[in-house]
Amino acid sequence: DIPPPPPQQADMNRGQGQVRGQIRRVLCVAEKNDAAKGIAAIMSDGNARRREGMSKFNKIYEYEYNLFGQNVTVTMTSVSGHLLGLEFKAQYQKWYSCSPVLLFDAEVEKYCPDNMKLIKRTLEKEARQCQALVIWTDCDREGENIGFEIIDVCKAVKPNMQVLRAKFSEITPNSIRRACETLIEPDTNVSDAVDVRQELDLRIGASFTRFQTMRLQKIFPQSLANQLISYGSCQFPTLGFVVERFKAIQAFIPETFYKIKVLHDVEEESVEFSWKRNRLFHHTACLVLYQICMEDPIATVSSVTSKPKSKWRPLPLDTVEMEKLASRKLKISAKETMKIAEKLYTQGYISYPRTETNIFPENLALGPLVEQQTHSQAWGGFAQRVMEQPGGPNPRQGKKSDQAHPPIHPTKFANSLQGNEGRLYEFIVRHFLACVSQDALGHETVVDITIAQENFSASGLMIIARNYLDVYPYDRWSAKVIPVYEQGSQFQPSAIEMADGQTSPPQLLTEADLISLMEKHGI
Amino acid sequence: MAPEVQAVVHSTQAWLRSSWHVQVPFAWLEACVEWLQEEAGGAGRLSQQQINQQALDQWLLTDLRDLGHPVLPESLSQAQKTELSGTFCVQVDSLLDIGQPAYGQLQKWKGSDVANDDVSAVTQATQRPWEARPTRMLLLQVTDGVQSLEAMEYQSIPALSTALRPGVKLQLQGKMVCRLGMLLLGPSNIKVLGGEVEDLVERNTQGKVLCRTLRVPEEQQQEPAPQQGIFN
Ligand SMILES: [Mg+2]
Repeated sequence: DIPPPPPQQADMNRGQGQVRGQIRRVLCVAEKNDAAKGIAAIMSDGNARRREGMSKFNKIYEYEYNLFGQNVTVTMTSVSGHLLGLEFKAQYQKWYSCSPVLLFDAEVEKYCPDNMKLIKRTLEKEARQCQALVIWTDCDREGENIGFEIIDVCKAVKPNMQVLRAKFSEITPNSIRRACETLIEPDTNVSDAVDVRQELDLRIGASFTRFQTMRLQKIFPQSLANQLISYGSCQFPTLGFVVERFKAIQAFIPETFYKIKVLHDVEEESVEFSWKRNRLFHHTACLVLYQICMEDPIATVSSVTSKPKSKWRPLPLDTVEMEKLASRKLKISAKETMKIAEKLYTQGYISYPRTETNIFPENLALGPLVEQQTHSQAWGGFAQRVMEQPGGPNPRQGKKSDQAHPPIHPTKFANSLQGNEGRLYEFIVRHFLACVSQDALGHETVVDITIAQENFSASGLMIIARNYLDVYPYDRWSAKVIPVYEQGSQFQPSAIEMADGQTSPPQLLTEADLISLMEKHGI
Repeated sequence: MAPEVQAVVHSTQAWLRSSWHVQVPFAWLEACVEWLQEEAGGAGRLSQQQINQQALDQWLLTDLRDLGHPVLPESLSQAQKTELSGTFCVQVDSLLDIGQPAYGQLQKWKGSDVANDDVSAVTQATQRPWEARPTRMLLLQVTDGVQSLEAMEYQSIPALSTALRPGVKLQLQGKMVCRLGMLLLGPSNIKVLGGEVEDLVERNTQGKVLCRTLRVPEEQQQEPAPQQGIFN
């Protein structure tokens, strides 16, 4: 695992000098009950005492731990995502209370929704017993913001509480222990960014939704009646992509094209040479060239080039790529994929699944991670090969880093996961092993021929070493046999044909295409 | 007509033929020279050299159909297969790239091609498989004023492009094959002389040529939209 990003390490000396003696109980709060349970199990070596909180979904785990260089009692509990919501003040909440444009400036406030009130009361009650608070929410923007919601609630009842933040990318013993040893200050800037986004979402969403709903209902009173026409600053452009593609398909005009193809049967093989001009959108023009070929249908081999060709192993996995590949190769939707990945993460099977990084940090030891996987019946042999390859695991490196989390990788071997959980875990493991192994190697041969000054080309592929393909069934690379041709030699093609075809419109967007588009436009 | 004018016209006619291989009917050239002299303020104001050049400029801007002076071999457009050689000056009425779909060209021309159409989910495709890149092949509608036929860019001709003005004059030269009424051209067969024809410039913009190819209604010329209130 990796050390946290360059930390603004909390000034423990000062804190220890003044506060240490008074810290007996520490309140720890994770983002979800599962995470609290997992972290507590690691910190307590499985000896945590469990008791109920006011919310039946958020348990409390208690245990002794050596923190700040002394033995303290830890109270570990959790929230369920955001604790607070953002809303306009009461006088603006009614639909016809004001003109929608006023919502851009109207006062807003944070409030605790009814279904979070019991969690809030648990926090208030526990905070009163503790001298320090450690935030264990997920280490991303939302997590940082949720952290500050927890801080605000706790500080309201216990203003002099010490507050610290644990930074971790995995719920594994090493990672959790290291987080405990390197607690830092929570990051206000990251949290503020989320506040701004929330406020923009609220103002833009509410004002446009009210505006367009009221206006369109007036224009189409029958068909819209009491329907809401909702507007969201991400959902709308995304809907735009779908509409744009649909209109492009509707507007498309197919055209007929013509091409010349040359066939050559050599013993068992049939080689198809394709035209260098590719295709022409004019019948007579193609027919003229076809006639010229037919009058002198002897092919001369103008060149034979043979060169190594490799198929690259995949890049380390980031979130967007995982969503796209899971959608395309496993047919698991992006939403479902993230749900499963979060679960695998809280159970300690994989690293944090929200990351934009596709470069493995240098100090992340890959060897032990590969080693764990040698126990598998299915891919253990391949993991062993990776261990034995010269230089050991050798990740292909991408270009992106969010400076927060490493690429998604397995942190623990599992062989009992079922259903889609098992399939996604297997995919993450295979992708990881593939990206630290070696590119597939092949040899490509391209044969160019000329018939009556028209040029044609055919290619063959010989696969020399499948390498990563052996562990990565999601990629295909097929060999294609081509007989031996000698430069300068001539032959009589088995057939020269003029073929036609039609252009076709773009395809409807798949979920994976849509994710690519959203990524391209920064949504 | 004064014999001295006749001599000037003869001299210009000979110059056009020998220097440019441009053949024009005597009567047209005579009217042209008289007009040039009139514009210049009377006979004798322009040198023979000036008259030659200005007559050439006039010819470049003339629709060869108005001259009715054929230069291409008769019935060339009906020929199954023939070869011709020599030098012929012709006019290009329109050009079209038949190497790629007209639909895509029209979208590009209108500036409405959507970059999002090319986005797909496959980002780790790595090395692309070998495939032929689309190459340009221009199809030209040419005429000598009497006979019209098509000519194709058999070998790549850098001097040609769809940006050439409809009505531009070309010199065809050397040996050329004509099959199924289509001339096969290579870079050594072409010299662009320049010029345009006002009528054709309007009728054969790339946009209109593409619309006709696709059999869709031709776009209106870009005129300012009539001012209208939103609630009219
Ligand atoms: Mg989260």
